[in-house]
Amino acid sequence: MEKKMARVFVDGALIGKVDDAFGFTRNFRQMRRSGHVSTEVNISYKDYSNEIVINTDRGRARRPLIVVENGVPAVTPEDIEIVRSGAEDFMALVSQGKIEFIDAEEEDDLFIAVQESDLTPEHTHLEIDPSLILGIGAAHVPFPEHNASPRVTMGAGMIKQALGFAQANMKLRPDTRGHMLHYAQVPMVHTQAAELIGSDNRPQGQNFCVAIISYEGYNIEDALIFNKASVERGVGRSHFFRTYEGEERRYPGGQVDRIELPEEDVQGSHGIGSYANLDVDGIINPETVVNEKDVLIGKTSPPRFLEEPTGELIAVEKRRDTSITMRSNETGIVDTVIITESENSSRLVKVRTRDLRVPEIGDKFASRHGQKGVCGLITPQENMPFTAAGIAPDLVINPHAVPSRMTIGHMLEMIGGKAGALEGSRVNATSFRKTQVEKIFDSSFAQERLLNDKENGKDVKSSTLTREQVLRHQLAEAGFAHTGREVMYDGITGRRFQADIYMGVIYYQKLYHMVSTKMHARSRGPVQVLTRQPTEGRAREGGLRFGEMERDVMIGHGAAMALKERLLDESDAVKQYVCARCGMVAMYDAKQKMTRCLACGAETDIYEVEMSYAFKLLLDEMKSMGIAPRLRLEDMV
Amino acid sequence: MTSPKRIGKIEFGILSPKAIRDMSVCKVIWPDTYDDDGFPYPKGLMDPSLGVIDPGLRCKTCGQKQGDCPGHFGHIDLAKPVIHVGYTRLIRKLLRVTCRDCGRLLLDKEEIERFSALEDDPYSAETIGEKDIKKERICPYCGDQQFKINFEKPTSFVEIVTEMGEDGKVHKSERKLTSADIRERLEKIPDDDLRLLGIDPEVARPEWTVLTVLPVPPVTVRPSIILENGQRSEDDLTHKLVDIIRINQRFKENQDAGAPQLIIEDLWELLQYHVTTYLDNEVAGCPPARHRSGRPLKTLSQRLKGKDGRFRGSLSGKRVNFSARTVISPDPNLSIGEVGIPLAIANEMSVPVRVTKQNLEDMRVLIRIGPHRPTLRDPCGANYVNRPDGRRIRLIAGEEGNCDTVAEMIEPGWKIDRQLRDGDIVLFNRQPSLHRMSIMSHHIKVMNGRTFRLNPAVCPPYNADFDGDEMNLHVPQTEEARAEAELLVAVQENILSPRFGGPIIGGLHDHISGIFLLTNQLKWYTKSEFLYLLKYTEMEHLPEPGKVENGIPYWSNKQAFSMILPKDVNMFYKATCCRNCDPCTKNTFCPNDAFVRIVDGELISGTIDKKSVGAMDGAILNRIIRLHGTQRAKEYIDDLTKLSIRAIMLYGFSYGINDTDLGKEEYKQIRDVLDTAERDVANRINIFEQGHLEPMPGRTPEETLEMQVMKELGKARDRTGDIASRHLGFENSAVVMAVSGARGSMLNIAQMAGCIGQQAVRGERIVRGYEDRTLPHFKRGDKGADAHGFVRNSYKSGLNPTEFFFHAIGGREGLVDTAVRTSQSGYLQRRMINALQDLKVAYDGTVRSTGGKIIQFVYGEDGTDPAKSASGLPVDVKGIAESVLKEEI
Repeated sequence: MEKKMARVFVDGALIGKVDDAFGFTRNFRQMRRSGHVSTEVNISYKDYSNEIVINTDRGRARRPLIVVENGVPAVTPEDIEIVRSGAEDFMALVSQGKIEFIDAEEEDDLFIAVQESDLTPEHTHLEIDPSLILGIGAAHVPFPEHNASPRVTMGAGMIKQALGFAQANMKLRPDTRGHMLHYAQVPMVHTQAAELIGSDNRPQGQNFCVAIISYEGYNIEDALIFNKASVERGVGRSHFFRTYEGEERRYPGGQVDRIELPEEDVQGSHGIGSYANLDVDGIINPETVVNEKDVLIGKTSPPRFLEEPTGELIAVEKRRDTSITMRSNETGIVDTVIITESENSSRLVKVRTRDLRVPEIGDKFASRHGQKGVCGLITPQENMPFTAAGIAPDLVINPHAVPSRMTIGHMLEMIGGKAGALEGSRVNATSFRKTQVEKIFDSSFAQERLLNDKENGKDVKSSTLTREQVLRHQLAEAGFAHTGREVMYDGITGRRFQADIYMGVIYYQKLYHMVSTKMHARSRGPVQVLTRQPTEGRAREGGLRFGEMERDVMIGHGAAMALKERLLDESDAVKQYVCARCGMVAMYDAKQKMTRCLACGAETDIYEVEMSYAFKLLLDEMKSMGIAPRLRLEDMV
Repeated sequence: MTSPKRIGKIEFGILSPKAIRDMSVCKVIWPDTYDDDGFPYPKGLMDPSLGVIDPGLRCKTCGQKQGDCPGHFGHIDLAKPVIHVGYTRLIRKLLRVTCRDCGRLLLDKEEIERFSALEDDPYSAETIGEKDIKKERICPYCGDQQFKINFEKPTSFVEIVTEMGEDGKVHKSERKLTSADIRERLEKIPDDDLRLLGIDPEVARPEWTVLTVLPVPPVTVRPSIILENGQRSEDDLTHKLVDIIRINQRFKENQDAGAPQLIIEDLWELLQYHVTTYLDNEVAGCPPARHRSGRPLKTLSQRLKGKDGRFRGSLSGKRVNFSARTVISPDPNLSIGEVGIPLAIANEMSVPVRVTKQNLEDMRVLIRIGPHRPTLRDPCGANYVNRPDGRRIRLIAGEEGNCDTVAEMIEPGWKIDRQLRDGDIVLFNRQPSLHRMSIMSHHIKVMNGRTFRLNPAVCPPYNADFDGDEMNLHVPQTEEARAEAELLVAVQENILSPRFGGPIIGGLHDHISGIFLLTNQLKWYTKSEFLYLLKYTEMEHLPEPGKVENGIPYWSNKQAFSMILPKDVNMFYKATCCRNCDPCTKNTFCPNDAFVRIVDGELISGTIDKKSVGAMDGAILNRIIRLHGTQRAKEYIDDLTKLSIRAIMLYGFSYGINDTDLGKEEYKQIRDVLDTAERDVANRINIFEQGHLEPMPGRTPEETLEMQVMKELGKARDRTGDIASRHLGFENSAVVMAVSGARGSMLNIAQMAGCIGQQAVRGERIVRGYEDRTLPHFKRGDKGADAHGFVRNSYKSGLNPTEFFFHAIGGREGLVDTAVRTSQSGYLQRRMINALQDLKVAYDGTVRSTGGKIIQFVYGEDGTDPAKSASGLPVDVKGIAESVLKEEI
């Protein structure tokens, strides 16, 4: 049966029909490659509906592919050499039609080879590099193809939380807050993508010497054990910066804030001692040690109106203290003081503080394989397990963290880091690099040696070796067990462990979550105006929520008094006068020293009843809605 | 003096206009809050007689300060009545069931009779509903023709009037009922008729649902916030009230000026809109009132509704004092009943202690120390002193402090807020609190550092791990609460889970691997090794050595474990590491040492593993609780965890890359198995494509093929696992962990060393993607294993790009499923608890609801407390038999 003419759509609009749809699309692509049609136009022939779809509009996601003709890629090694030399750029290959940008619709028409070795005459295109399927986060994970996929996802997520050396101009920056890792290192085992992204210029972790062993039970359930000596040498050390600012704001009516040493009699003064750190200009000096709630910038504001007339004398209105203080729960050292002018051309003072964060129990660390954990113990080097050579690891993790999570990539990175360290070369762990295994080492010296070994027939026999085998071979060459395991001794008893312990070098990241920013306790403190319940959040000295589910648990335990204490006495208990006659909240008239019910006019039969303030508020809200909730009282006993 | 009162019950009614006016202290007519000088307008929305929210001011009505003044209502006289949105349904019903002229119920005497109560049964009375009355009938009392009433959302009512025209035809016309009309009609309904409708006219006259007066809530209900720049930001309710007053005033002016009907109606409607949104800003058919920024206003109804509303947000759960939260980390040297808390938290938190004649001097010491406790070695002090008159004195340490003076002041009857010290009891909680073991009480141990330290053995009930989890702590303040914490909420009282009547606390990872390494097969230790193993347990005597060789005494591994058992335990069971051999050797020698025999507290044979000590298993622990109670059980867990850690430290336990190594022969076998499987799949596809495939009953050929392929590939994966596990023995730590039940399974080992296998989405091979194929890297219609997500590689050999992609698809489905499941089950649990929370076992043994209705005649219909049962059964027959016969039954 003769085929009908194919309809042609350009950006969704029908513009005509063609006879030979296949020929048309083929010609069209040929024209695009030869430069007669823009490289930004994509075409696709839909067999099932006999339509040709041409897309030229913006906002299509497109990706580059190498054009293949008759099983031969259009990009030749010479082309690559030209691009590498810098004589031409990548886009030159695109305009030559050797590389095409393909959109989602056109991709349906193609048959793409993943690797050059897979090419057949039927293939139309070739992937540039399969490791490009990974995004920025996952591309940083070494050996991702050896990990279970959820762990790669987690690893990619945690890379974003790592502290590092993100900016080199830290001294000049008045960021509101920022972290900086000391002695940040470039990862021993790295990926090509990370290099291209520029992560080596702003590294975000350190290479740790890690042993995998159950040790004294302090690394159960993902906890980590740190070597105290390593911590003292600077492992995982970072600084936290915070900038505070104070501005001499102008108010309508010509009054202004003043940055100064507040007088003793200003309203809401923090007390004389609080201003001891301030210089005569009311601003703190650099390198002053400051604790929580210490005053950094002394500032006073014009008086606010609305005050209770205090008897007959009309008091002179005082200025208010609006000094800038350290946040509660934060300490540090004043790093920089900047005095400048704000947008409104008023005086502006910025004070930057820094806080040294040495790793402590409760700080969170993670490798790039989704293996996260908090520090559970920092133990003296003497107590750490050690090898025959006397090496004690920086970090001890638990063997139980591995089998159920299947992070073989983590294990590979450990021997990779170890082999790399012994070889004096960084190790390339980019995904899907099975061929040319000698390129696993970055240094040409190491590569050459490996090739020599190959030629001399020393173990490294053929290109069928995996990267794991090469790394293990190199370990053996360096005089270590190829398994990565080592004979180790218990640092406490000096007894040799029967099992050999797996030890290697792996890149660990210090994550943003540190105990010092999380620990929080409240005995009593500020309450919300509306509900009179404790405020929310650590920064506001808030209370924790004893929520519905926690209430359910206490009901389940049958702990009635404990529940009542939590929900009433320790939250928003109040005593209210309730009129027994009408059941409404009554009041105590302080002027006439008597109780009175406004709703029904009663003056007796009014009792003080304990209730939650939120409940009293609920009663008021219901009354506002025109509902009359009448409380019927009964004897307590 | 009468006895103190509490709230017994609450009766709800509707506020009558009179009641609103009576309780009002101020008629609000001014639509503004504060003048330019910051003073409230008199008769404005912030009138000082409505209460105080600024510290230092006194209320004009009651003369009390902020905090003491409860706030007082004002009122707004509405120019014309408006309908209360909350009562539209009631109004509709009343309009439909009563006469439009005389206001009486549209039922005659006999009809009413049917609904009224029988003489001997007052509950037989039925309330009359809308459907009990025929539409458009004639009033039996005044004979007036009734019309259909239509309700139009949100607040209007229309009467469809049918009239006989002069030409003899029926004319239908719509007549809108104004709020005033409606009110008039409702006023006419007699009290007796209302009672028949289930309305108590004493508390809720129907005309009160049409508002003529609007209560103005006190300022305490709508406090304004003062922003940093000194400007006031008013509450949403105040904003809405401003709107209402503004329109109301304009309405009144227009009304007085005799404005045209059209304008009056417009204003009336506008007033109705504002009052409606003031009461409820989410009414259907009514655009929500918005803030200047475009955010919908949070008005009265929104304040009560939903998760953060008054009920769920501030009454059922609330923020509390004496609470702390931080990261958790492990400390295996603590008892399971202890929790380590940071010194800084212990200093902030306190427990009230009443001063008596007996402890007066001790209290003085505490006060002299004051709030200053810089190190663990320093004694604990006190933070506050509470005088009997309710005043609180804050203690200040140091030279300029008040500690010494206050110490001299105290006398019996005062209360001291003493800082926490070792041994105080606290409630420890990890959210989400899914079951009652999510809150347990621990005794504290003050420690250095900033984390809460807990024994890892209590991780399972909290579902906690140490990858950054945080936990909450609450300090009970009253003696009653502390007693409940000690007796009901304590860790050892919750070892047995009410879910399945077995222990939920027990060893994990290191403990199981350690105790497995210790007890598997028979091993002999020298005295120093034996003492090393048991050095942290409560051992008093060294037992007789198990054997003496060359004059050197040796003790066996089984003896070591027996040391922590009570002497009357008799148990016989198969351990987790049992391979289910056929036939089972049982009492004779088991090759895996998997048959546990404990006679009189001596481990005779068998390996101790997850079945014996694991959380959620813990057979031995279960028996100990029954024999000796919870205290001994707690000691046993403490001993067990310490013994197992010593064991794992003695052997050393690691995991290396070579734990996934197989021999050349195994790799070849695996390759063969996978090749065969793929060939087989190709064959089947061939058969299918030739149309020779015999479909299974009820399936299409395609489905049949898919099932066969899945089965074939699944089998292949399992076979690679078998090949791998045949090669790996107990020298392999992954096998130790899997066999002992400590972590992982043989499947994990198979995937790491052998083959990962088929990736699935919704239980099927991956089919989605491009036209007739999953990826453009495969040919159209390719049904082969690799084109649909079969991963041939192992994690060790590494996935290839297409495999990786399919694996990521499968992995992502898993992550999404977990996220969806948790939210769904959370809601399910909430509904379940809401339904069951107030059932209780009454003194007669029945389970009753709060209304006294019987739900069950006997609790659980068997009267058994699952937490005290033997895995759900009331009597542990096997346990009793074993302890009597001392042999397997």
